[in-house]
Amino acid sequence: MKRVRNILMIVVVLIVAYWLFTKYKALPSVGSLFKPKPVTIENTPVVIKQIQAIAQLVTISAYEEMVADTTVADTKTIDIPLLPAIELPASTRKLVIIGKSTTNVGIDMQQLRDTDISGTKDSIHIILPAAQILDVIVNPSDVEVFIEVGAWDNTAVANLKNKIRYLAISDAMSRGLLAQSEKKAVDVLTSFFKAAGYQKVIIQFRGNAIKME
Amino acid sequence: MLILLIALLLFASACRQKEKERDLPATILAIQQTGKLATAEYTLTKIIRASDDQTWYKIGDRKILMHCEAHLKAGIDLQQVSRNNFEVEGDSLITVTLPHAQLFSIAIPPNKIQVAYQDIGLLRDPFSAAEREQLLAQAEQQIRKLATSLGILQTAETNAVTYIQHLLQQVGYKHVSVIFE
Repeated sequence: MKRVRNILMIVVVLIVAYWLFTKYKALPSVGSLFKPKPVTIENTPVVIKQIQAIAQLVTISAYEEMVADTTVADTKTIDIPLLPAIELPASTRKLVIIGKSTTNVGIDMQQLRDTDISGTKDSIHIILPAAQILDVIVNPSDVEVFIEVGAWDNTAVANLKNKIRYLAISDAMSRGLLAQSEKKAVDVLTSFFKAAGYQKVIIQFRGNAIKME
Repeated sequence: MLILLIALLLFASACRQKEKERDLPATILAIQQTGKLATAEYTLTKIIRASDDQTWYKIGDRKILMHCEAHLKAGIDLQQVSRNNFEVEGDSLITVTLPHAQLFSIAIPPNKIQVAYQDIGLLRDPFSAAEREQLLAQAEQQIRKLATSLGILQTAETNAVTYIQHLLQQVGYKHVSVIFE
C-alpha cells in the first residue's frame, strides 16, 4: 500500500513539474512537440522584367468572394488479351477553392487622343474612351483550398482561379459596374478640371451621349 | 388549438426568413468608388524555393522550386486633388501640387505561376495544392514588402508629372509645373 502511494506521489510530482516547466516555457508541450514545423520560403530576390508607363483611371473596385470546384472520376481499365476489358471502380478527386477577387474598373486614359480634348478659356470638352475592366486580381493570399481530395497539379488550381476571375467579370458586367465607373470618372475629372479653373466641363464617352455638363 | 396555430405561424415566418436569405447576393463583399490614376506598372519575376525538412519525426525531405510573375501598379489619388492644389498665374501658367504616389495593386496572375521542380522523399507526400498556395502567399508577402524599394513610387510620380503636364497643355496651358506635396 505504501509502495503504491509512493508511486502515485512520484507521478503527481512529475506531472506538476512538467506542467510548471511547460507553463514557463522551459519544456515544449506535447502538442508542440508533434506539431509539424511550418515550411517557409527562402528570401530570394525579385527581378524587374518590365517597367511600363500607363495611365489608367480606376474609379470602381469591387471585392467579391466566390467558390469554384472541380471533380474528376479516374477510371482504370485492365486489358487482358482475348477477354473483355475490366473496368475498375472509379476513384473521385475533388478540389474546392474559395477565392476573393478584386475587380478594378475604369478608363484607359492612354486611349485619349489629342483630338479628344478641346476647350476655350473657361470651358473644356473631353471625349473619353469607354470604361473597361482593367484588372481582376485573385492572388494566392486571397485563395483558400477548402476541399482537396486526391492529387491536383498547379494547372488545376490556376483553372479554378481563372474560373473565379471570369465569374467576377460577368458579375461586374451584370451589376452595371461599367456604367458606374463612367459616372464616377465624370465626377473625378469634372472636379479635377473645375479645380484647375474651368467653369464648364463637358465629358462625353465615345459613341455615347453627353454624360454631364 | 391556439398553441398549434401559433406554432404554424412561427413555422411559416421561419420559412419566409429562409427564403429571404437565399435571395441575398452571396458573393459581393464591397464596391468602392475611387479616383486613382495608375501611372506606372512593374512586371517582376520571383523564384520561390522551399525545403520541408524541419519536422523531426518526418523521414526524408521535400523540396519545391516555383516561379511566378507579379504585376505592380502605382500612381496618384486624384480624389485628393482639390482647388487648393492649383495655382494659376495669368492665362498660360499653372502650377499643380499632387499628392505623393501610392502602390495601388499587386497581382500574381494564376497562369504565370509554374512549378519548375519538386524533389519528394520516398516516405513523403507531394506538396498539396493548399501547401503550394501557402508558399505562394509567402512569396506575395515578400513582394509586397519589397515593392516600394524597387523605385515604383518614384517612377509613378515621374510618369504622373509627364501625363498631367501633357493633359493640361492639351487644354491650353503653355507652361505647366507639377510638384509634389
